[in-house]
Amino acid sequence: MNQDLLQSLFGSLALITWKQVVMLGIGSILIYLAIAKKYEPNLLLPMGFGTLLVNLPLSSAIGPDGALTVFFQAGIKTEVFPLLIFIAIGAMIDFSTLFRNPLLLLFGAAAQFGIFFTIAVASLIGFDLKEAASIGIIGAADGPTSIYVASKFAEHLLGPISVAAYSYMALVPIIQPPVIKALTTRKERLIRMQGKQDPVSRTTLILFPIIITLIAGIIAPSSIALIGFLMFGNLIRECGVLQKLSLAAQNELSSLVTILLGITISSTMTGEAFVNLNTLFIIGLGLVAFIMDTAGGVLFAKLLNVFLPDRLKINPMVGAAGISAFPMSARVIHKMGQDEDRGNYLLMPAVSANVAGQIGSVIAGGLILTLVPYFL
Amino acid sequence: MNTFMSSLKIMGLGMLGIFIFMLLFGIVIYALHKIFPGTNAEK
Repeated sequence: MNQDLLQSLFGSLALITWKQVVMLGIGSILIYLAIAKKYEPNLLLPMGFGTLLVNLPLSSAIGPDGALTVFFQAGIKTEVFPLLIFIAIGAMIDFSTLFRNPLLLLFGAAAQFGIFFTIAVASLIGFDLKEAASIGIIGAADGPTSIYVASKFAEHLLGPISVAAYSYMALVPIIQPPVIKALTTRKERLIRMQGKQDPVSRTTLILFPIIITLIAGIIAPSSIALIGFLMFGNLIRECGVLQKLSLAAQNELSSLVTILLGITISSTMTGEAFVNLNTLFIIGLGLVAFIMDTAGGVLFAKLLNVFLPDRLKINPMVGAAGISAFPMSARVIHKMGQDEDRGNYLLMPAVSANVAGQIGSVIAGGLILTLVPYFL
Repeated sequence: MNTFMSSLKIMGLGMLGIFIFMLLFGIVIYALHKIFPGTNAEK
């Protein structure tokens, strides 16, 4: 009798596989990184805990009736969760810094180079085009865009892609400085940039998200959900009559969907799906994407400087802020500038480039969704 | 090799596409800023 009871209580332990044990370790590491190191805790903690849930033998959290599987079908497969996050992000973005120096928009384009470089490398390694595009989009340095594209093109890689995207976003202060230093001279890092403080009219801030949505929708219809939801969130922020909704989008909506997004993605992080060579490749390629993004931004700034007069020269470090990791990248660049020269304030141009990167990453996601099907 | 060649074409078209988008957005920003200049009260 006692033996039967013990069997029914602890029998599942006998079913555990070594891959599940590895995943329990990875889940614990994610929880540790989130709490002890504060690496993107909003996402890594739910993902870490979810990883524990789905890798226990006979887990009822996954499977046809499992809660996480139901969340996945309802929130990720339908793209609802990433799109809701875009509303929240849009409500958080202040585009006015960009209006004061529109030239910096170009860095939001240049610093997406890592995405496309990584797609090429991934395809050389042997991933098919859809998988390669999903891996390359890690370089968007924008979790929801990565999840959105991967859920459309390579759902089976969603787990490692999400882990890589959010981990490297947290590691921007470690990844970017050595790349920037390797590509710039001290003289270039000392360049000071003049900050502009022109006022931006409310009409401009209201019209901007509407016009951008229309342009993007006409040129690349596949990108309309991504850009449209981002700009909708921004319109809520800027219209001036929906303060409560704007705050709700920035706080409650963002928090709720982030919890659901994180724990739902973990449903793809089973031992069988995650513990394989592809995961190692994806983690490595994600790093390549971030490095090449940084290099793209810095080198483009150096190229622009060839044509710009001395008084308008751009500190090449600002180019690296063209990735979407906001505001982490802008802070890193500002700190690097201060380390070289205490009197050099690069925060404003770096924030502008960083905001441009947020637009650029979404555009890149939309373009990939548009282009890849043509080459299949 | 076909996949790699496709990825290179996507790289070219993708980077070109982003720059065109950003240039368009820049023009929109510049035009809006000129047509509706801000006042110090809005700063």
